Amino acid sequence: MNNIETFSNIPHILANGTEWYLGLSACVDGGTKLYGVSGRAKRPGVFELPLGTSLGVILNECAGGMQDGYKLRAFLPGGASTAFLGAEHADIIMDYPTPEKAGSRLGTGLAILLDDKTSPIGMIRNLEHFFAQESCGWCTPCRDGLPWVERLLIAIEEGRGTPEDIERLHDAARLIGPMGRTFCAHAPGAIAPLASGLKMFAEDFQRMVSKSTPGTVESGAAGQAA
Amino acid sequence: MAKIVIDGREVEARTDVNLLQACLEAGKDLPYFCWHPELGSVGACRQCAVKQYANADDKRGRIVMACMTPVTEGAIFSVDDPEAKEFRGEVVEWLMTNHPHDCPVCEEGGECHLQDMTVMTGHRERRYRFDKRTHNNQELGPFVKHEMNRCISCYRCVRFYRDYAGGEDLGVFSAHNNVYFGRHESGTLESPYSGNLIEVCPTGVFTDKPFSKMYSRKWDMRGAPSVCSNCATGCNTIINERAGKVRRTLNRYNDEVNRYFLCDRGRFGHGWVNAPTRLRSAGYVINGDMTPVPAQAALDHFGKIAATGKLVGIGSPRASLESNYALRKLVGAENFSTGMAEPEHSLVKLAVSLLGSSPARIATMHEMETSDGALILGEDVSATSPRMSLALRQIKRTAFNKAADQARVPHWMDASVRTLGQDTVSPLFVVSPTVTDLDGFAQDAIRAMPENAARLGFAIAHRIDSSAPDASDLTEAETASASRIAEALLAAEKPLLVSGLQYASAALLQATANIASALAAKGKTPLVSFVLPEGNSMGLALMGGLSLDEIVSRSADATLIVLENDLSRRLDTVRFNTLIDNAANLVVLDHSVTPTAIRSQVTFPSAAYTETDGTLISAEGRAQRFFQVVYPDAPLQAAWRWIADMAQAAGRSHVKPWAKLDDLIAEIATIMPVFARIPEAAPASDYTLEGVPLRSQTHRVSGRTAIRANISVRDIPPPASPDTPLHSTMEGSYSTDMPGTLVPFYQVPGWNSEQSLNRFQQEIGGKMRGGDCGVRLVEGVANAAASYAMDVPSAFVPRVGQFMLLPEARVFGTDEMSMMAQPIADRAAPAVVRIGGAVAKGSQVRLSLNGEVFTVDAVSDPTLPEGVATCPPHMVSRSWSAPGWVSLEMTAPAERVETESAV
Ligand code: SF4
Ligand code: SF4
Ligand code: SF4
Ligand code: FES
Repeated sequence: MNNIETFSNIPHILANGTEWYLGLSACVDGGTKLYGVSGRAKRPGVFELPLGTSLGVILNECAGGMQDGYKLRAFLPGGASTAFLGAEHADIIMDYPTPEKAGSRLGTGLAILLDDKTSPIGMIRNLEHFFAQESCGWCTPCRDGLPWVERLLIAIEEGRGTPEDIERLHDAARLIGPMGRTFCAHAPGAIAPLASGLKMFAEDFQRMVSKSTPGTVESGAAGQAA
Repeated sequence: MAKIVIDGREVEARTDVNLLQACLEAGKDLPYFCWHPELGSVGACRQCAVKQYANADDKRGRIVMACMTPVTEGAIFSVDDPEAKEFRGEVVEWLMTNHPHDCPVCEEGGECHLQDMTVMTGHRERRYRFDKRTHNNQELGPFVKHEMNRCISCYRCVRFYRDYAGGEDLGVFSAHNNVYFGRHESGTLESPYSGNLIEVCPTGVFTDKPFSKMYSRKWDMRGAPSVCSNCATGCNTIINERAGKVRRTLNRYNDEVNRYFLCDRGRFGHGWVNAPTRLRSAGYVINGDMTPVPAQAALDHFGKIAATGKLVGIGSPRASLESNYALRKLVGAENFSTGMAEPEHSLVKLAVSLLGSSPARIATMHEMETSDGALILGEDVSATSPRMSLALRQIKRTAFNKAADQARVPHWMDASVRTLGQDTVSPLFVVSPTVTDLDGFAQDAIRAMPENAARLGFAIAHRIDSSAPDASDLTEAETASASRIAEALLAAEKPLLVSGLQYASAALLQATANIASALAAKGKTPLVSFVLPEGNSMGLALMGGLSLDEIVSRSADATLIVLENDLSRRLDTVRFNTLIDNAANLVVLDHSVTPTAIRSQVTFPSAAYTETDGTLISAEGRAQRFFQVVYPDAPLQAAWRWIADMAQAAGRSHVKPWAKLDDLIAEIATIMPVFARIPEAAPASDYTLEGVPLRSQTHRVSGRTAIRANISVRDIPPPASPDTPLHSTMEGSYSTDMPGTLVPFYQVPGWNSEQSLNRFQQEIGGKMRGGDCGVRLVEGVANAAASYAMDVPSAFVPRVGQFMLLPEARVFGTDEMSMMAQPIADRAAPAVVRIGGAVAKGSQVRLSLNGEVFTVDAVSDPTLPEGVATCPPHMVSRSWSAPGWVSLEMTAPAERVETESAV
């Protein structure tokens, strides 16, 4: 056991018994959960709530709802390595099975919000930067695949992408995503927001490459000429 | 064995290997990087992906890494599955995102595993269009170059250097796609096995620095199988040549001997064959200057001085068996010396006779790796037989594997095995007067002077079998150690005993033999090994002859013929001078200029081991043949040919010229029963593969005529020799079924790097398809009745006012020929005297060795007892090599003088 959240439950379960612990929950899986919201909510934060609380309650009652002038567009229900769900799932029950049925995961339970004024490409780029940088460097798909993904996203975001770049991103998602391709779960986690984002925000990607300036290259010497 | 299905084909596969090995053994081309046959699997590169199906109905399957998947009965896999293929292609594309693609200027090009695997996966077009990260390279010393941008982060280098070879100064730094493989800062790689990085690294990050100075592509060089003669271990090598120059030494696989790795002395110690110190013409020495003369004139001169009178021959443990035999025949057995002085002469003989009569078997290095109870008694093997020391390091792996067996983890699952084994105790005991590199791996490293080490050995034997003599007056600690080691050896399934001649102690050899006999008396089948001093020490001991000391007193007025031997390393100056001054004539046959050669009257230039063919007998008792890769210009020829010519010139008609090496080998085998089997060491020169002689060059070799176009555009006939079964050119046969003794290079279609070796083996890590390498001449006597040496030495007693000076063996510096190779000379640290007790920094000592006084830098060594000092043999006084009492006169740092060095 190496998860502090799990660990911190132990003394309470020992003190109060399993019945008590199960009774805390709003669903079949017992206990409470540390839920969180980040992004353009009024009061981003971490909240301990019965497991199985809905995102509606977490976002609107605990985090005070979206900031004024922003609408929820999509969200990662359980942190950076879970797949995007659209705003239509805004009231989803945050237990284990429901997000999975919807195509994502409960993950850490710390939802990340995408609002209607933030570029989804920028958000994914930011996530992939994190994953590329946090790769331990052991296995190839993660160590060398993710930095490429990040650079493709930068190019598209900065208006220098090409339709082939989107193809490359789909390739990476397809080839790195499934479990077993890499040594640990870091890289599949990195692919979850990318793969779902490519689908959900396909139009944004198309729009960015269609208005990009073809022929420009990355800063530095290498680029297309090499 | 299990039946598995690979791409619809049912194959038999071993169950103790992983699927990658099974695929390769089934002849599949499955690319890989991080797996290495000797290092096992870690699943880092993800290059070996295949599709695994749950059962015959599973049509989707899932991608698994073959190197991390055990072989299980009935398992169904596909290598050719399109999804697996696409993934493997993409892995190379990812690796290439930061790779410089500088093959044309990369010294790995043409033998690059990354090139081969890239072609194999079909990745052709670069789609990555962004910047590449760059690294700074490091200066790693005289052996290995570093070009980090080419790194594909397969982790093989650190796994070899640290996990396998125990080095600490090479590591992996940083994270993500910036991982860096190098030292914490520039500096000479400390491990004596660093050269293996060149072959272990699948890319051009680590390349051969001396080779780089006279670089040639693999396909442009001739190769020949050879045997390292820089120590007695007899590692198998391949020597590469181009345009008459030896370019490099590579490992040649011998499953029982050196397997995949060499030590750096062996890999970088060949340079003397190209050095200016080579003798390239016959010569007269006048006033210490060598004047070249035509060979015929020199022979005529020899004929005159040697037509009558006594001939005395001094052989050499660094010369081939054939040349030694030829000399012995010329001068007569009663006038032939092994070329070794006392005490070495008697000790080598003793070692060989103990080995030949012991109930123990001589251990191969591969057997040593898996011993589960080993004792190294009074020898710093890490310096006297570095490759053996690397094998002994693997003993800890035996303990790891036991832990892995309990957890049901297969032995090839390297990272898991190492984790499971981290708390195990390695069943290795080291007893040595000085700290050795193996101490860190040992369960117990016991400091003991040679006498006391021998006494401990006797005590161990006695505790195993009480009819073996005990040592009297043991200390409590010694008694406890003796019991503990005796118990461990008795409990072992493969007990191993190693000793040697470093401390010139007969008692150490006898104590070791006593332990072997005692173990055998208790029903064990012990393995034993004695480290011997030189490449053919064993051969000379088997051949027999007088010691040099006997020669000194017997050769007055004789014509002395010295074969490839520098007597100044063996006799002190007084006896060296006496020998030469008293002889009527001194004739030297050697490949290099030595202090002995410049005292001769006539010198004949003999071919080096790269220019001729012959047999060496390793300390394991294995006769092995080396083959020429260079076809030297006249007058260079094998020493035995010179001897035949000399016999003719002197009218000594009992020596008839041998037309070819095989004739000489056949004669030796007939005349000397101990050598009866040497013809089996390698195929004869008429060997053909499917009716065609073998080639020694690749099909792609270029510039056969162009290379000398500046001299002449004529097509000259290629050089030839009646002694070697290898043709000098690209014409001839070559196949994975060729005898292991005759492989001139490893290459098969699609596999241009040394990784192609996989295809030459019956199974990976197993025997060569074409058969064994070499033949064992010395075996123990199974079921020999225990006969114990009874002379237990008395304990070491320090002397007041004197120091016991022990020889400090060194990987680089104490060996003769390798020190004539520049990279080794560059790597050798200056000689110092280490002293037990306090020594002010910057002090020097004056010490008298063999009657001469030397001033040497002194350092304090707190691991040595008071009254004991060490000094590297041959590096201060040329001839000093055996322990002895000396007076050390300290001089204060303020009175420093230039130090003297013999090399
Ligand atoms: S997937 Fe895991 S093991 Fe592989 S590089 Fe990424 S973090 Fe390291
Ligand atoms: S390491 Fe291999 S692939 Fe890379 S530049 Fe060198 S030869 Fe080419
Ligand atoms: S330096 Fe060579 S062996 Fe080491 S990780 Fe890089 S490619 Fe692999
Ligand atoms: S060879 Fe299998 S993962 Fe590297």
